[in-house]
Amino acid sequence: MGKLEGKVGIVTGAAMGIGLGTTEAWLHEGAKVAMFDYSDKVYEVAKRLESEGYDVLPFKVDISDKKLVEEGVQEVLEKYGRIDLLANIAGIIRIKSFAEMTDRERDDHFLCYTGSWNLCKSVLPHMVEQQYGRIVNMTSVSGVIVVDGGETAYGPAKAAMWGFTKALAIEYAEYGITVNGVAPGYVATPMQAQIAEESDPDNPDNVTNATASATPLGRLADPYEVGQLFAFLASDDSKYITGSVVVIDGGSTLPETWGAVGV
Amino acid sequence: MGRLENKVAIITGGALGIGEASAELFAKEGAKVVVADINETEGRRLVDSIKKDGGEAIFLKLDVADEENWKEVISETIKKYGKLNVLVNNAGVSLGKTIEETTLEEWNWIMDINSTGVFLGTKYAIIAMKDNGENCSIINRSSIDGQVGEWDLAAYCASKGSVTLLTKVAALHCGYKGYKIRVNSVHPAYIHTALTEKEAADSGLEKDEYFANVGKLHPIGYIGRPIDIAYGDVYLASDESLFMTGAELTIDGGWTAQ
Repeated sequence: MGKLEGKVGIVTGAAMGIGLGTTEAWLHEGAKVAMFDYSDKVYEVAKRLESEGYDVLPFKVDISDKKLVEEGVQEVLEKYGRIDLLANIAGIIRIKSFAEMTDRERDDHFLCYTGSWNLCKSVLPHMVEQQYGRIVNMTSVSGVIVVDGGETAYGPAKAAMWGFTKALAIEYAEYGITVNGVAPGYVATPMQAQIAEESDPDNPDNVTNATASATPLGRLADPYEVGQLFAFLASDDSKYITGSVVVIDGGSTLPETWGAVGV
Repeated sequence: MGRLENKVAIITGGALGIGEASAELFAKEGAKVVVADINETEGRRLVDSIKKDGGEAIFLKLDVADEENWKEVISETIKKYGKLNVLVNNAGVSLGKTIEETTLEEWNWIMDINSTGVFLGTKYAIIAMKDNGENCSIINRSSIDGQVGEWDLAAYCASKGSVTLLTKVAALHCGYKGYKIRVNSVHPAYIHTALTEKEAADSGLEKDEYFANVGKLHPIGYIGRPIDIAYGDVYLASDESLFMTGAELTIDGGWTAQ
């Protein structure tokens, strides 16, 4: 029997990357999943998952729009009668110099925060009523632990998710609701492929290979592996964990001397 | 099928408290468990009880501060089960004293068990694991006191802080060497165990009142149970966490988020 048997969850950014990996990990553990995504692709992915026998409910929704989020959440409640789990994963990244980054792009990065905010506003009252909930927020090792040049918008947006996670955790601990974060290093997602493409259009594989060899475990994560951490933090195995941000980076933020030791 | 099927695990301080909960859960998830502890009576009792429940376990006596003893325990484990996949360096002791009150003798006692014990275990486990070709995991019991300071736990905080960083060094080493060994640390807050039962007795309060008071210090409102930590150990021991190394898993009811 799966760790999430009988549970109903919402995953944002569910059509690809870590959002899809999390959707799959939750489904494998027995949950029913409402898939929120800004792209039409979510219907196609949901269809495939349904054909594999899973119970999913796809929504194309712009999570920066509070009203649309509320409508989506109402539909989930109508169909399943409850919401136990929420994974706030949707986000974007653009690697650009500060000089080139526009104000608009800065605001777009903060979608991960405002979108999570909207979801939590809609979902938390139901979790409080149930006296049960598991919220898992996507952040990154970038922003708080490390940050690269070109991430003047991405880093702060992800740092916001650390603070949001901890403050929510403290406010809602007494209602049987835990709130935790997942901070991945490099993961083999479409977003990662886009970064590689932008950094070296002629040879994006070089970028990916260099990233892998700069990670102590020698590879990028598979999105499903990160999804498994979302599953652990969504399950009752982690009921005493709240306000934590768990790093899953293959050791990439550990070394200070990688180059210096000639490895 | 269990989440730890086909894994051989040593759990130090495995006879009581958090170690006991982990040993039981590991066995339930299909691991072959070596309960390594200085307390032979409780260790053998636990092994009998695991076997009665259909699990596989043996007891080996271990003083974690004794290097020769470590070599024996690891070689006995391999003799019995053929390999080693998981080590949980769980054994530890605590001392409620400030830096001014702590004697050198007390400091050395805490450091020998909490810090040197983890160093020796990690070192000899890596040597035993590195060539077996399988996914291996070392889990070091640190504490929230390996992340934040407490004024009246001077030696304890120092010892747990050393565990946090030794974990990262060992994780990096295994990564550089290409070993299939991950090393992570687990950081509990107060947990209801024999160790904290003793603190309750020393406090002069009724036990229930003491634990209720301590519970309120955690945003979640209650004191954690050994099983809450054991679940974290299982996650890190299993192949569900293959991309995690050098990481800290904090299980503290929100204590350090505040």
